[in-house]
Amino acid sequence: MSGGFDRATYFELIRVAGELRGAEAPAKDPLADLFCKAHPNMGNELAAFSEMPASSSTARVARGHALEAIVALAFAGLGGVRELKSFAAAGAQYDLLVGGAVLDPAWACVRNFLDLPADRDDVLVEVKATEGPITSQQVLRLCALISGPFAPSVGLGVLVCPSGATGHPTPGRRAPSLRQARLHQVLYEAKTGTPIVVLDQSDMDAFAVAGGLLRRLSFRRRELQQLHGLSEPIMEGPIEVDLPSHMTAAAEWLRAKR
Amino acid sequence: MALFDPRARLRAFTTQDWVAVQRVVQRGRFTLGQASAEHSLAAERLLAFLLCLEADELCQLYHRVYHVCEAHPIRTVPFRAGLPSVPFTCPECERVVERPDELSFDVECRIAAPDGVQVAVP
Repeated sequence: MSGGFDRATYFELIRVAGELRGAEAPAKDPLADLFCKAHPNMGNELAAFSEMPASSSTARVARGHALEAIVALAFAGLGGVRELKSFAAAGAQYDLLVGGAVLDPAWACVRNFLDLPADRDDVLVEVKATEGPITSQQVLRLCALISGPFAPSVGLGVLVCPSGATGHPTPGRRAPSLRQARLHQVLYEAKTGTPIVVLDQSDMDAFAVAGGLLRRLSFRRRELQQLHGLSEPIMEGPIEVDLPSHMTAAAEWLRAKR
Repeated sequence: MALFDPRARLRAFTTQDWVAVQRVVQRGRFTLGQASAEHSLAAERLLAFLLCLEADELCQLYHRVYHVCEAHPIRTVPFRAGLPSVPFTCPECERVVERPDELSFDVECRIAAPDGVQVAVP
């Protein structure tokens, strides 16, 4: 027999090591890459989606299906995923329900990364390929689904829309106030403890790299907690600076090799 | 010599753990299984330390993949890339590996700095 640990022991070792280690910056965490694989064809799928027209109603349906397929592919890359469902039945219709195996250490790592409670670790995903951003009503609909039929099992709601959501920061434009869709996300989390995050085009682009989905979900979650109103993490190597112009001197001194 | 600073990580480490990891990183290349046995340090504790070292770009980590046919690894893949998916053909015995339980794994660590890492013990 060869050396080394069997697969189950090996993953369990990694899980325990991750918990012993404690908090790591998501941008650097090797476990994000390990437990979030990117599908080899994701780059092409994203490029094909961005070329799709939204001119007619048939074209818009095809665009919606293409985005749903991309999102399902992205979530299927998470470690320990055992459940991936999307259907319309007697109950409420939803786009994607993602769940992991309770005893799988890979899923436990994903759960820890996203701060999902152990007893409500399913993720409910709604996909909108609309040209405009997600509205307050669409956020409220997802809130109703999570509070209703999915209350016992879902610990995170995700809305995916290339145009983001109303009230959200955009690249180069900080969101200084809390309003529209973003307000409802914050209110819902404050009331129920269940976060709802919105992924936009910049987050979708990250689906093509290992760890991308996990890191963007984690970034959006923290943005909702801190409400710093930025659309991208500010990282310059190991330094993180977010200061207004009258404090430029401190930023420059920090960047300088001292 | 590169300096490792645990910052807010590894709060659960005891003085004994820190002494052990300081000894482990004296070597340029080692495996998790062997180093944890040699230095009497639990494998999960050593791996927790190595994950920090990798995140700080002070070492490179790899998965060593063993097949039942040989005592030496048949593959070494970067840690972040994940374990290989089955089925694949074993380069040693040329049989198709169909089930993951035919494989076993270990972590290989290569210290990046040629003169080693100094650990700042909190």
